[in-house]
Amino acid sequence: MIFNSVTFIIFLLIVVSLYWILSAKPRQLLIFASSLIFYGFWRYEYTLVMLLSAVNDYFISLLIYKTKDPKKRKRLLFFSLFVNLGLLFYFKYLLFFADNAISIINLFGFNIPPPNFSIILPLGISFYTFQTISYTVDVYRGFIKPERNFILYGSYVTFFPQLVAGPILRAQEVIGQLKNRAKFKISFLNDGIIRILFGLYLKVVITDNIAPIVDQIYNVPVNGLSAIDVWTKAFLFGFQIYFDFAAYSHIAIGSAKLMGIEFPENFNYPYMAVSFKSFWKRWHISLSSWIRDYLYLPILGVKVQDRSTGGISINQPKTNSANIALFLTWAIMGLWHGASWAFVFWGIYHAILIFVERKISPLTNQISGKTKSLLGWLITLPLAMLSWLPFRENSLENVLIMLKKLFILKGFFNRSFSENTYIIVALLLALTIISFLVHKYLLHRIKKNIYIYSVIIIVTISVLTALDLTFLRPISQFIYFQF
Amino acid sequence: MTSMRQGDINFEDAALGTGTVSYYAQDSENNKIHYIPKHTPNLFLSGVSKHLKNKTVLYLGNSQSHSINQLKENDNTMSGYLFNELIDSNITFLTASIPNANLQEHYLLYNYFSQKIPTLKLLIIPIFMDDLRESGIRESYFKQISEEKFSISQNNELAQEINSQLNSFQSSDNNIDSTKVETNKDFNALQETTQDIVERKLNNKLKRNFSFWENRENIRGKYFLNLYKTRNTILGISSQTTRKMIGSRYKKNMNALKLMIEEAEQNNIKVMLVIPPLRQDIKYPYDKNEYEKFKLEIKELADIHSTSFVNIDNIVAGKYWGHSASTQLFKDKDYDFMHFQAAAHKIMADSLKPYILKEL
Repeated sequence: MIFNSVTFIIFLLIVVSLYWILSAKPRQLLIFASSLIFYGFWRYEYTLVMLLSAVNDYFISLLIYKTKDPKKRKRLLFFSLFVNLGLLFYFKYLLFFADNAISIINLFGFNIPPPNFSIILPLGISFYTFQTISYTVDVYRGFIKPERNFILYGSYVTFFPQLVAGPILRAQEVIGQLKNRAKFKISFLNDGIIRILFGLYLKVVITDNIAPIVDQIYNVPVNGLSAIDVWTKAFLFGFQIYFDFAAYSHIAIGSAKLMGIEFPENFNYPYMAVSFKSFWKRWHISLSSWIRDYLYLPILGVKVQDRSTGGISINQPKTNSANIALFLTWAIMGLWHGASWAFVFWGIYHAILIFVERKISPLTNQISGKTKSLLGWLITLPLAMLSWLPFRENSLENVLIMLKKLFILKGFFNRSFSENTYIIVALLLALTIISFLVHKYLLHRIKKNIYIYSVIIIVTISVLTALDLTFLRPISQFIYFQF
Repeated sequence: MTSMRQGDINFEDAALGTGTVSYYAQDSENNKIHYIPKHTPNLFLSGVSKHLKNKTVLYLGNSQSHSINQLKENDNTMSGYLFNELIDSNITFLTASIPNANLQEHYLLYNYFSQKIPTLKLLIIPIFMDDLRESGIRESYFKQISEEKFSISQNNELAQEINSQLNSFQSSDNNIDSTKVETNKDFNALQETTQDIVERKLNNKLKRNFSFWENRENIRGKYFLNLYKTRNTILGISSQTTRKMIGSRYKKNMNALKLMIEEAEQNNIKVMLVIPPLRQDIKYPYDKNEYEKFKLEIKELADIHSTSFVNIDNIVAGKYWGHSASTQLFKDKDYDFMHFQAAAHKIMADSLKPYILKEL
């Protein structure tokens, strides 16, 4: 089921109403069953794949917990990883690796045709697989005890608000909340509804209306583009993917909030980041936190954390192996997004930026506070936006052509797109900055005056409701569904 | 002589502006001789079938050819006047037009009609500089043709692109039955999912019970119109504001034009390239240098292919031009550089007639 639909609104109304009426056991069953129904509304047959992953980790975790022998525990952990990553590999990466393997073999004079089959990628597999892996690893590390109640455990894995596109949550953040329902507060409804309305606004009013323009400009052959066109492509898709994904997170957080369940934030104004380190503490926070705890820090041998917040943020490592870990981690992060070299390129690109940032930090640290922030933002934003080119452009060759165009000063401002495209990019950038400034400097002041704040909230809810209802159509999926 | 009767007046197209209405010319038996792609192409072709034994001329236009400002009784469009005047010379003059038609869309229309009308002998292509800023094939205008499973038989990049677009319009219809009121595009994200059926049923129910739900498409349209007007008001954009060429779209449209000329040559269909009327008593919305260069390029293209070139951009005096609805907030009307009165349609018909007779 997708959020931007009438079906979801009605589904949510029913589930939330029952959630607050039912007692503990039926309530847990409600969450589990409704999550399966939610998923089944996409393709019911693929709920089995999700359940296979969930059941596997349910039993393995119990066994790991019971077992005292470290070798046996490790073997069980590897088995769990094998099943989870095996499923992910089959559905997401098999074709990619087969294709590449055949290309390499053909280099030696063979003439093997490319694979002639297709595999449907189960919705949200990258998200729920990471969630089940984190559960088993956390049990292995002794961070949590395994949950014996399968319904409760299953609800954690499949909980519908975050099932298909995150946030990727840790068991300890959710299971307790699912087990013990919070005492009903009217603020759950207020906050939840506002988050959902705002998320829907970002999706159905902003993103769905940017999408055709993005499609159009990415269809223009790259050879004729000027530097300003390349920047426009990078920025416009950058805004589209951000608003789209942030929309999903808002709706997910809001839907959980309606049931009194708190999710950590997944975004925090990433395009206002003043460094790449800061960017990765603000963008898709639950993924970068996951990568931090289950990949990056273990490779470095640094003590891991056990929360889905904070993003990747460790002090500058001193060893060479840290640099290898950096590049490896980001390459895998890229590959997580999709089976294509373009995504690996995206990951390596970010690794290079962080690497350079670390190297020049002795110099940049000499610059004073506000100037450093401004300069940092002016460098981080455009370079972060450029990283989206390989995300959207299918051909790596085209990405390289476009990157070269950035350095051609002749005809820098020659336009290939309609005027509106450039105006929209400027507007979205202005809105991003304004909303950040309002949030940072104005909102807490407004909140102090309850009357003004109430009026603003009522007007906002009214306008958002009207716009959302006018534009609500399942016209496009969320971009992150494909990852 | 086959006389013309009053044609269809279509008031739907509000974009035409103050006092300007759509008018699709008809023959004496009320058959449309002016095709608009929203109509069923087969109905149009069967309506004009008795005229197709004649040598046929096809004029591919935009809203200029199907609009009349200050419409009066017995007024007609250039298409109607030429049809009436040429039919006695055993020449059938047909028109196909789409608002803001770009040359990629004309390429599709040419391919469609050249397959359906074996007697097609002359193709007239008016080239509006304004329309070269447009690109792509619009589903709303080509849904009917896509439903016929038509595809361009040529093997070039543009034909492939258009065919794939037509194909996407077709496949998007596979899951729709005639009772479904919402357009399929609105359910794009649900294709091949279980949710699709439920979502459509819920939508239909909402439409039946709430007029708001039924009118959402209009409300969305009004929302965008007001956004557009707000943009124009803030940036001071009016109908006279200079519109610069968009390089990539210009090239793509010119490529479509070249392909049309080459393919027509291969099919022994003559081509006439026309620089259509443009209001010139006030500042027009083009960069003068770009406009002159554009005309020169069309002339050179005509020379290369030995096709006829007719420049009638200054034949319509200022008094015949209409006004468009204002594109800004708080203003009623603006100059219209595209649509004019029936008298100007007659002037245009009289100007083109000798060239047509010369070609055929």
